[in-house]
Parts: sequence; structure tokens; C-alpha cells
Amino acid sequence: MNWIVFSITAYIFFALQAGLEPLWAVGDATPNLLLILAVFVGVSARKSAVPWGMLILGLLLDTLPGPLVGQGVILGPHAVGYLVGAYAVLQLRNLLFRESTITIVLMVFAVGGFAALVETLIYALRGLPWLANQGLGWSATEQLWRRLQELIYTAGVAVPVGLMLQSSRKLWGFTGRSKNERVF
Amino acid sequence: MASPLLSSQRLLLLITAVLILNSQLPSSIASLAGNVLAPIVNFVSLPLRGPIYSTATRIAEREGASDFAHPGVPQTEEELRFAYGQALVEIERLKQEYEELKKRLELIEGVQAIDALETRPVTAKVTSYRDPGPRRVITLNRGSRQGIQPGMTVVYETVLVGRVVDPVGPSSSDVELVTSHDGGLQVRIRQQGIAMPFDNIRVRPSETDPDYFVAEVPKDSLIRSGAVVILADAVNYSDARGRLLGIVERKSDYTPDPELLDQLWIRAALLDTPFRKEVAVLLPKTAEHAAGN
Repeated sequence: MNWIVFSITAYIFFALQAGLEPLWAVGDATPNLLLILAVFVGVSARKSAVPWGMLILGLLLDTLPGPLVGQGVILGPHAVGYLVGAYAVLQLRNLLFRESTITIVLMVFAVGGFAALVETLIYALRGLPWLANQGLGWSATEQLWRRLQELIYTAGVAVPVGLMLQSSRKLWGFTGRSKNERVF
Repeated sequence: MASPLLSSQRLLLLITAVLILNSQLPSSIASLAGNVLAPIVNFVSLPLRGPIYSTATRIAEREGASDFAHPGVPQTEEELRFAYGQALVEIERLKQEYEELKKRLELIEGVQAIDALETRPVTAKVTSYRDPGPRRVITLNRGSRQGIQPGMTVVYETVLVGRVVDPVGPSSSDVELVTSHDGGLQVRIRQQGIAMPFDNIRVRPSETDPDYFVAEVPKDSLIRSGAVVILADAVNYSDARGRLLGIVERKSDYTPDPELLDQLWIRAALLDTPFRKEVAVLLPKTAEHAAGN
């Protein structure tokens, strides 16, 4: 994978995601462009590059305002969630046609689902008395419901964004499978 | 010798472990790395994000100005007059509310001037709130190192919040809220328009609603809703005498003896303060000297 192209795209997507919020927020839900990019990288890049790419995108998401009001920026929840998502995408991607936009839409649900579960779990664990003991004042069910809405919205946006990303595949320098990667 | 991929995997595992650990630390420590990275990311992304954000905001505002986004905006002269009338009523209501609050504040300040003890407030941040059964407890980020001891009174401005309970850690302490107080408390009730306060009234936390205290008063008592309830107990919270405990919200028949007694329902004043963020612990002046030594 061409890391320069990845960095530029991540920069543009991050700016768009943070900048377009007032325009395309529906209720509490906004589409997650970085998740679409993570899925695109996840299904297309070499096995060894996928976790690193998704870790970087997860860390970028962690720097955006999260549900922890007044507790500062905490790195971890998204980053770990995306690492789990990377593992999931590496297990699933051989079952699907990688150069299809439908694959990206389906993978948005898979990767986003895993990432949302992990992220919510990490935040919820902060409320336990023997850990940080800093509750958030929200219920995990509500958070998962909100993230499901975001996933549906993101999956909708993934169609045009996925088409655009797929059309730019040549720039990315994806070189196919790694040496030891299984085909089936 | 380990292959580069293996070492890369090990590094990833290590980073994952560090991130999980970081996300479970108290926010004061956990946010250290984030508070360094976030400004850098913001600074780098701002040249592109800024124009996108301002353009998006302008478009959103333009869309928001349409009739679809604000169906309540008056369209005809008649609707406009109706809205104007409603606004006048609202202004009048707010003026009355302001006057009432002003009078209540004067009452409280008057009592405090008489009863307040010599104390030194130490502000503390509230790090958690727990509600295990009938007890409500908050945890503070101050402890014995700052001179805090069990039994000390905790307030939010003029409002009584609770009392420090055992055990007190070096830099943390638990506070049981006054709404969880087991037993009765002696209070003084000041009714607006009546010069003499009602003394020797005993209140206790309601068994049915933890947000309220209840007290029984004679049927012919002049106490009405809006009366200010101030702590005047010489045994419990003795250093908090003069602090606001609650406001009488309603009066109902006292079921066991409805002919002779009324029951006052007093809403705990602390519930209307942001006590879950920051409070002050009242240290006696003597403790200040001891800590200074």
C-alpha cells in the first residue's frame, strides 16, 4: 500500500468528517468516513499493513470529541475497536470480492459492529469501581443503538465513497496478497 | 531470529495492551497522551477542516432559515401579535420568579450571617457518583493529605451536600449525601412574609421518594410551598447550621392524623445544584492551623 496516498486520503476524510458535521448530522448520527476508509484499506491492503492503517484511523477518531464530556481526550476506545475490526476484516475478506463496492458496504457493518462493541465495552468498563470508576451517565444499550444508527448511515454513504475509492485503486499500489496469506 | 512481521505483531500487541490500559485509567492520567495528540491533529487538519466547517455551517444555517426547519416562526400579522402577547406573559412570569428567588436568597444570607461557623472551604472535584440502595455516595479527589477527616461537612455554595464518611484515603474521600441521612434533622423554616422563623422542626428523608425530606407540622401552621428550610441541628452537621437544606414544595394531610397535622414535602436543595462536578469541604479553622504546621 502506498502510505503517502493513505495519509493524504486519511487527512482529507478526517477534515471532511469533522467539518461536515453541522451539515449532515441526522439527530445524533453522522456518517463515519474514516470507517469507510478503514474498510477499504482492510479489504485491499496487504495483511501486514491492515492493522497499522486501521490503528492510525482509530487513533484519529479518538482525537475527535467523544462521549466523555469534561474528561479530556482518551486514546484507546476507537483505536482498539478498529484493531479488533482489522482482525475481523482479515478473517472475512477472502470470502468476498474485494473490488466490489457492495463488499465495502457489508464490511462497514462487520468492522463497524465489532469496533462499536469494543468501544462501548471499553467506555462501560470505565464505570466499574475497581477500574477508573468514572461512569459516563449513559446506558450501554442507548450507545449501541446510536452506533447502529451511525452504521446504517455510514453504510449508505459508503456506496458513493466506496465507488470513488474503488476507482482510485491504481493510486494505492495494492500489491495483492501477502506471501503467507490464505486464499480460501 | 524473529521475522519483521512477527516483531510487527508483537509491537501491535504491545500497543493494544497500552491503549486498553490507558483507556481504563482515571481521566487525569488517561487523557495525557490524548491532550498532546489532539491539538496536533487539530492544528494539522485545520487548514482544510476550517473552510469545510464554515461552509457547512453557512449552508446548514441557510437551510435552517427555511420554513420547513422552523415551522413555529410566525407567518401572518395575527400570529405575530399572538407570539408577542405570549412573550410579554413570559417576561412577566420571569420577573416574578426573579423577585421570589431574590427574596429567598436574602432570607438564606440573613440566616447564614447569624449562624455560620468559622470554617475554611477546600474545593474538591467529584470523581464518581454511586447510588447503592438507599445510600447515595460521591467520591472526591481530596483526602487526608488535604486535611479532610470523617464527619466533615460538604457543601455546594450555600447548600448542604453531605458528610465525609470512613474511610478517607490520602487523596480521595467518600461523601454520603444528606438525602441518605439516617434519622431526623433539626431545621429552621423561614416563610416569606413572616419575620419570625419556625424553629424546632424535625425533618427526615422520605421513605418513598429519596429526593425529598418530610416533616409534620400543625394544621394551622402558616408554612406554605416556597418556604426555605435551613439546617439548625446541634448534633448532626453542627458546623453546617445555617446552610440550605431544601425548599418546601407541597403540603399534604399527614395520613395517621389528618385532623391535626400536615406533612411538608421538602425538595432537597442539593439536587438543583451541579454538586456532581465540584463541592467544598468545610475544614475547621483549627484544621487549617494543624495542616499548616
